[in-house]
Amino acid sequence: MKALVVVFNIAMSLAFMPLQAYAAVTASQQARATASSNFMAEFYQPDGAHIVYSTNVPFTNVDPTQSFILPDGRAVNDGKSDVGIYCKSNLNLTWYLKIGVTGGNLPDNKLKYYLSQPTVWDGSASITTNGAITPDPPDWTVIPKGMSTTIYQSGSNDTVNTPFGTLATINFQLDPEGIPGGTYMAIVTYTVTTSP
Amino acid sequence: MKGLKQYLTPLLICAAALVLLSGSSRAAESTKATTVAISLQNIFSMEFYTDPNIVYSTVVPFTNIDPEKSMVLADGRKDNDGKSDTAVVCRSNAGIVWYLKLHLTPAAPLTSDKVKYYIDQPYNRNTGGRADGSLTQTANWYSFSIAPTTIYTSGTQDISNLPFGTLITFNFAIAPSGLEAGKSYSAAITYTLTTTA
Repeated sequence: MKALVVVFNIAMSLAFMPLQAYAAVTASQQARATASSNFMAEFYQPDGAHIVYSTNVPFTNVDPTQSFILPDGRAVNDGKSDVGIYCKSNLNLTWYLKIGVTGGNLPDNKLKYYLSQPTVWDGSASITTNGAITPDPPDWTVIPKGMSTTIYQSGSNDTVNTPFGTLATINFQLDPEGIPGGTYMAIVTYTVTTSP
Repeated sequence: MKGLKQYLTPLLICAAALVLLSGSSRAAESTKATTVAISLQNIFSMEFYTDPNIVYSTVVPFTNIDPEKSMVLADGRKDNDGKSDTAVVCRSNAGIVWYLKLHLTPAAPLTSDKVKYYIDQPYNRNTGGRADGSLTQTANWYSFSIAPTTIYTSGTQDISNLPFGTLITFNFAIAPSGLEAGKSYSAAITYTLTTTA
């Protein structure tokens, strides 16, 4: 019995040392994670109050005798946007937000976008970025089909914008002129890239 | 073995450097997509157009006609006054050819040959220019038919002409010869928008 007690004490001592070593390794891993690259686009989750949609934007039962058609539930100057895209980067390289219609059966040049100056969180408040929007000043502009067009180029205050990223808000408008009645779809692709 | 290692080491270093360089020069990219779903109502409609230069719509009066003239215009109208008696706006997004027909239903003893109409090349209200359809007959004065008769056939642009449609203007005249003094006459003019030739 006595001998057994000694063995137990040794075992306790051995178990303590590896725990110290493990803690040191963990701290080192955390330091590397902080420095890792972050470059991504993600949707602002629709909240109804500011951003209404994300992956699906409906234009239902559209009256084509109107020349200015917004998505369901939207009105001019209602203070909302259809979609919000967070663009995050810590690469310290100028980045670009591009947009294009990459699929669907909607005739060409019938879908337009409107992009206001994006915003970024500076640590205490949301401020407008100093990057370049296209067009400037903002205006309803046709989304080209089959190609991506730069609609925003990051500025000095949001080229590095982690962890919260730059929020680009986009509105859509449909031009029904010349479109026969029926059902249509357009896939709008947003690309954040460091390639101009 | 040692010689082989001596040659391979620089090659491996170069290859590693190339891999690292290509990785750093490759553009970073991230994408998201939104599906925009659209359902568009079918529209096929015609309505009277109102404007200061369009004098009438449902009633066109010819009051106190001078029987010595060969052609009499509607009340308040003059030759080349820049106005029209009536106008209709035809709207369609059916994507197929449409036709505007016109006919007269005179109340006896008036006959259709006493009432004339004038139609000019219609307007594309989306562009502000002339529509690209075709008149059945060149712009001129014509007697009415008592059966619906095609007077305009839509073109490639106004087959689907929303949102503003195609504007077609009309002028009317009476040939008073043979009409009796002191009598009142009337006739109904019917405009028909159809996809049937």
